[in-house]
Amino acid sequence: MTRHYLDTTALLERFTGDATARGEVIGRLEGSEHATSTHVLREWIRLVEGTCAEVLNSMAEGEDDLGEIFARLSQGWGRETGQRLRVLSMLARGKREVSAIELRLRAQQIIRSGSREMFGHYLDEIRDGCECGLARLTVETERGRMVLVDKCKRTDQICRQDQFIAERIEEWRAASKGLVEHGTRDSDKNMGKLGLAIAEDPPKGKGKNCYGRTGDISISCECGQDETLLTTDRSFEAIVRERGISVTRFKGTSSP
Amino acid sequence: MTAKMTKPRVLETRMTRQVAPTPERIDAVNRLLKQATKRTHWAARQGDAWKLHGALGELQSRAVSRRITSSPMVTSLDKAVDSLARLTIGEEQLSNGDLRIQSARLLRRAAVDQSRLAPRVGSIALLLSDSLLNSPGVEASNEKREALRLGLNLLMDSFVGEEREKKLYRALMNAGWEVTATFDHGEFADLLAQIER
Repeated sequence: MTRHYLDTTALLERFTGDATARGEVIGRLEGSEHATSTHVLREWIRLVEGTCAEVLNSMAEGEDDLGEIFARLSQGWGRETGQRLRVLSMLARGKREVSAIELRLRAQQIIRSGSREMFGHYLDEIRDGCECGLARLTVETERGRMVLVDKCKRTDQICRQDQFIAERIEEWRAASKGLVEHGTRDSDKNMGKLGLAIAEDPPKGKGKNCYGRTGDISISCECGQDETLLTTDRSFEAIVRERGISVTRFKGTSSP
Repeated sequence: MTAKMTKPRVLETRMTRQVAPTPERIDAVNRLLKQATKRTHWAARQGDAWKLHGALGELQSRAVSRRITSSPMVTSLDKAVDSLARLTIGEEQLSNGDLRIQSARLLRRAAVDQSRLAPRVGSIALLLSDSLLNSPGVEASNEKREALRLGLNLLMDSFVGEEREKKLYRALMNAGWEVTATFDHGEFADLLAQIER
């Protein structure tokens, strides 16, 4: 049985994907245990728990129409918008029309317990080479609003991402080089260029450069040689070309 | 006057402790308390302590005992628990698609009714309902029944701790119940179109 190393997209497909994508993941993961990293956990928390928190905040402000809530979720999230829609669909149990009570109960429960249980369902190891501080946070209630801290600054002392990069400098360089040379999208090439610049000065890899710009490079650095990285994201196909690890990319739930 | 103020409060406490406080029941209790207050005012105006005591006693024994305590209303949670219990008796019952759907509907109704009074119990009911609806094709097994039984126990408890809720998630997923629904492109076509724009 292949031991997989899971990217955020694979886990999202398992619990929020369409029937085909979900079947793909279940077929590969069921019956054995797999690994991932806290970089993936951080992204999962932002997408799943962050979306639940925003849904609850929207509802607290009087929104109970799914379309209106989604319009709010869409603001400023770029390529994550499609993933957030799928989380919203999960809260609505796949229905366009849903009662506000059900939506609220599910969102509260997923923040409280469901999110972490789903995340850990197939895992026996969550690697934590960078000791990510954001991956240790949960949604809190502040003045009646649900708040998730999902950003950090380069100067924050809540991780050791700079040391993480320095300790894996060869893997980091290879992944970045792979993106620059084999990336098919501008965003992938740009990530690679930034990765190569960070390799010369690892402390620059903290903060937004970590959680917002080079997440895929960090994720790939903790994938073992005996594991297969499971993802829907094509950037990993470029990353592993120079890293010497195997990747399985499957077709995810199509989103624009 | 003291009796007028204290007795209705005693009534309320007794009633809400004896039966589940659904919104309908609370309304019924409020109506009865209003009547009790009027009757007590009338008795107090007569100036007779025995009449005052009698008015409250009569109301309590006739109205409260007969309408609520002696004939307790069956709540949606009671119905859901009963249906889920029948579903977990054996594999034959769990394989019955109609019974599964009926249980899922009753659990969903219970979840909505419990959402304000006991939201965690409501969440458990909704999770169980979702699991039944999201897994139409799964075959019955002892493991699946055991997971539902765990949920049944939680529904019958007055407080559900976070750790027990997590344990239920694990049990359901390990048994092969689908806790989330699949994404349906058609259902969300209008919102997908928003992303395209």
